[in-house]
Amino acid sequence: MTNDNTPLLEIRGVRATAGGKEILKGLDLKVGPGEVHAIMGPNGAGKSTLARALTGHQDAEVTGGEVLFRGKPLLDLEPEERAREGLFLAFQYPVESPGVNNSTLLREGLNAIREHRGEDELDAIDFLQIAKAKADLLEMDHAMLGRAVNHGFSGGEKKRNEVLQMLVLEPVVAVLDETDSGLDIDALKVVAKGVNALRGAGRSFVVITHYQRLLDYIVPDFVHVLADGRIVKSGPKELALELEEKGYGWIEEELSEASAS
Amino acid sequence: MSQAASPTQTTAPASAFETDHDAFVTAQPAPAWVAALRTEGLASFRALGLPSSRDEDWLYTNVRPLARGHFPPAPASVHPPTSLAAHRFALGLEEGPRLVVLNGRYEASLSSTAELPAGVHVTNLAACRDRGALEALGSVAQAVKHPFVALNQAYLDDAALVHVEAGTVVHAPIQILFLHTPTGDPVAVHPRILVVAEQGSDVTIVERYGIDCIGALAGGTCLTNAVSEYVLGANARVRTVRVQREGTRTYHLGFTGVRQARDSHFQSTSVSLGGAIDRNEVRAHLDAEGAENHLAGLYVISDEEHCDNHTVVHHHVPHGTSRQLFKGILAGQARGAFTGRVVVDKGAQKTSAEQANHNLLLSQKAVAETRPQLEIYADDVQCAHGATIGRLDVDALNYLRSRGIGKTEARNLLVHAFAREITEAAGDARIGEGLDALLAARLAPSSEGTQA
Ligand SMILES: Nc1ncnc2c1ncn2[C@@H]1O[C@H](COP(=O)(O)OP(=O)(O)OP(=O)(O)O)[C@@H](O)[C@H]1O
Ligand SMILES: [Mg+2]
Repeated sequence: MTNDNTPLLEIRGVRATAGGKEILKGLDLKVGPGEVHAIMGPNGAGKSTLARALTGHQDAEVTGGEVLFRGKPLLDLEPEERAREGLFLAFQYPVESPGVNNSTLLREGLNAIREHRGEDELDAIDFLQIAKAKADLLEMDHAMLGRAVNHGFSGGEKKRNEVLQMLVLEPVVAVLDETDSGLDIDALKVVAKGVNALRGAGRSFVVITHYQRLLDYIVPDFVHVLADGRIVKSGPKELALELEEKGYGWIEEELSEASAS
Repeated sequence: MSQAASPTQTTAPASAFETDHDAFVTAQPAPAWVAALRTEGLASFRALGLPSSRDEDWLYTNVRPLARGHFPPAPASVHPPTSLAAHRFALGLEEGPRLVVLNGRYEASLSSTAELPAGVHVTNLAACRDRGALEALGSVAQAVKHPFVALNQAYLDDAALVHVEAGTVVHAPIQILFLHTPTGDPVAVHPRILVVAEQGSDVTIVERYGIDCIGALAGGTCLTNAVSEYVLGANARVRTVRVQREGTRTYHLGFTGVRQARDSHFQSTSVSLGGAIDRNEVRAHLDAEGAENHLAGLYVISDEEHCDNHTVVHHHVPHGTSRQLFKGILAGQARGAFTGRVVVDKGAQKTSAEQANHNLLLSQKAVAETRPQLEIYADDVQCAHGATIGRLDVDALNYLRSRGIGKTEARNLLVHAFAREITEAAGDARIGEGLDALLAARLAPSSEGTQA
């Protein structure tokens, strides 16, 4: 079924509701192996809803369309099965979980993924070695591994912790939902370093952002505009610069002209 | 609190607890001073009668099944175990000092008190010919005030006694295990513990209540009516961990009485893992200034189990501190109740008392009741209480699952996280880990039939 050119992620006409309202209105997106796609768009356009729909979050109910992940249907899978297949979401708002140890979360997650791949379970010592090496890459204090998941973390620490999880779990497709928001330039560089460390032929990224700045460090192959529940414009990386300069108004005008004619 | 005998009870037919007593006394002869305590206990029990649900302290727990049933004292175990290795909830304390009481009788072969430092005396009641240093027995848990304490005293048998001399620090936790062998017919055991910690001493006591055979949890019903007394001298530090894992058919009534002298520090962690009726009472008296009392409790119940934690912390004098934290994890149609009474006497200024009860409901039909009772007669005090009843956080559940963790495992992680505050409060890493393991076994789908 799959060959080297099969898209890792293919979204076809996906519709989804959130809080009883239709948010995604037939969205298409194809992400090939090794590609980085940036998604930009106004607040409330449905970017996070897309991310939630992909990961099976209870707050996004998919009402139509289909998603293929590495050539296989994704939407029937449980959230944990999607993760084990290699899908990862860095949350826009990472969830605090007092009492759950950060490294316990990572180890249980990693071992579940390894088991799914037919690999051996890692023991606590081997695991910790991996986790510490990844933390070093992100210039994170090892003490963060022993703390409760995101509990009492600063905004920047939470975002860094998401990237740490991504580095440890080594997904096939990672969706980063505003991982750059609220980060200072140094933190941003560290996050970008983490993402770039994973970049490679077999792995793809969907980077949701409001800011061109991130894309200086994680250079995308494609930039898409998500507005009103659809991808309304796609282009090369230069599109991000144009969007940052001119906002989204001109696209909406283009669209209404197109539909009027 | 407990009331004098109501006239209706004297006309009621004598309960089996009363009619069984003669046979018990004949079967288990005791020194004169013990016999006198038994007689006194029986008289108090007769006078007080079993509590009814009209009794405010027994609002949430109905003990009528005990009145209707017949729970004679358990006979000696026919095949006493030769080792404790098979007992799953060892709490990482397989080694170390311990005292084992099986069906009410001290088991020397399973006990081990050799390693204890000088200044600690751990013994069983049958080994004490005269009352000697035991005048404290019955002074904290008073038979005249409480029907089940009275019943326990009426059936006083091989109590576990720990005496720590002034200034003695005991590093290894001392375990006291009360086990009973189910026979199929209902039986009763009346465990009794007395701990006297003299001035400046320091000791950890682990109380364990369990069943002695595999598959027993599905077997016969049993009544465990346990009374523990803790007497703390000035500046003494006592930590206790109490684990109840007797199974879904048991009626477990636990009473812990505490008296604290100046600057003493008492810390208790109780873990209740289910039972038909499980009632845990703590009655603590802060008798002198600077005393500190910490009560932590966890109850994990399912099916139609019932657990009732009932505490009274009494501040008699100024500058006392008390902290209570009880957490319930309730599944199935289980019902968990917490009543926490804090009494601050008129003269007990500068008291600091806090109390919290948090409940995690894992099913639609589980019920949590919570009832703080602050009786504050002093005006310069700091008292606070809080209670919550909630469910698992779906966002946290989803977050864990999004990292590849299965639904059941994710739930368990969150439940453990909720309980961790209590297991950590035990203050000993080994015991804390042991409690976590015990909790994991309790939460596993096939937990019933698990050995105690
Ligand atoms: N659980 C929910 N209940 C009700 N409305 C919701 C829910 N989740 C999302 N929405 C609504 O759906 C719309 C899309 O939200 P979404 O989070 O996908 O936007 P976004 O493009 O990620 O915006 P931002 O750039 O601000 O992050 C918004 O109007 C939001 O208020
Ligand atoms: Mg968003």
